[in-house]
Amino acid sequence: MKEELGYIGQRVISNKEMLAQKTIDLQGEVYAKDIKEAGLSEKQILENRTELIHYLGEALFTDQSIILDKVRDWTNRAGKLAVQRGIPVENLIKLLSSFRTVIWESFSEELTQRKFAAITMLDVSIMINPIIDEIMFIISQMYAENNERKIKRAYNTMQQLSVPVVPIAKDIAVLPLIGEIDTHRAQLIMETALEQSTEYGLEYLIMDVSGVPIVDTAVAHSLFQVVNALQLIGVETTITGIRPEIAQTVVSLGIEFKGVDTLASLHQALEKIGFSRQ
Amino acid sequence: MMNFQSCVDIKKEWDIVGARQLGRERAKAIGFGTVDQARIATAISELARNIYLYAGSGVICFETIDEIDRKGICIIAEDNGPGIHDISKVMEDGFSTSGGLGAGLPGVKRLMDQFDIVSDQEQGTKIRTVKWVPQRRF
Repeated sequence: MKEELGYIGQRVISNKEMLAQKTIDLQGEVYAKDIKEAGLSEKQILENRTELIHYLGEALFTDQSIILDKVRDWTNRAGKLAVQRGIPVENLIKLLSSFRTVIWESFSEELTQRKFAAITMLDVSIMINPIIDEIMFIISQMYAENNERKIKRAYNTMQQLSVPVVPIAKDIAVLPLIGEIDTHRAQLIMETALEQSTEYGLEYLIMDVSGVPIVDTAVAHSLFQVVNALQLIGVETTITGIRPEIAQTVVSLGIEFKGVDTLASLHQALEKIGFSRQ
Repeated sequence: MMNFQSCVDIKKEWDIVGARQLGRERAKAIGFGTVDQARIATAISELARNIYLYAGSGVICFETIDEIDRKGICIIAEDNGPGIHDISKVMEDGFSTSGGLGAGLPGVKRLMDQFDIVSDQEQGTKIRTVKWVPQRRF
């Protein structure tokens, strides 16, 4: 029933502000709070939603591909704003569902009076649902990409903080290692320790591992490689801070610290090099 | 009676860390002391790393064993990898195919109390290892 669809579409468009306002009324306290915290004005929200309702109405009598383009453009704008301002994605998705409700409800009277053919209302669903689904899909992607970016940034920051070579005297430095050591970080430790040792002209490096929770064969192997490489450039490395429980597991694993100096504490290592309280 | 199974998929290197942290927490909850927690976490780390290096992907599962006279943790490492061709060789100290220190499985066996391994080309590898909470006997 193309005529009826056209009628319904035009009705939606001419009532678009009212319908948009209805989504605001329906949205609930939680979302209202989200919007407030995001610093978005009700006027802006109303404008955005009105625009979308217009497209949803248009969808009933226009070629779907044309409407999808307009809707995608809208979603990129609205989505960007939502992501930037930190609106929780789950609330946003829930809100999008309400657009369906609002449009259906606006015809509830005509529906009960059975003014339309049954197939028409089915067609309304068939045309609007894919559009709302597309919006949800794009929004989800935008949020996922944003989270991915945030994690990468956090990881990079952590990496940068992760190899602090701290010079404590003319040719002595301490490298306190804190946290898990995966192969990526082990590589970073290798590169940074070598670079910094050369830059500071180090002769001694004390690598403290008391902050490393578990030393398995892979971690031990990485540490040995660093020690060996440093030896090649003339830096004598002492490993300190192997906790008793780690010492036990290392022995059980059969790892041998051959040729690598280890001492219990930083304090002992410094004394050995020649630092002591006067 | 075995209960409370939880599993960690091993696909990325960082999953190894996840597995051992979870294992350590579980061990702590069961009542293992610091040293045993470290042993268990290290064993999990070795098993998970083997999965990561040789099978590409697999799973590490933990189960709490709660029997009348003893408690313990059961760790199951399972993968659909190429399997271990010669198990006895791999259980020799010093054997390694990846340039690591080769302590791998014999080390795990020493860290834990029970150790079972099943492996073939078709099914992959399944390792089951148990550690009991030390009992005081007077």
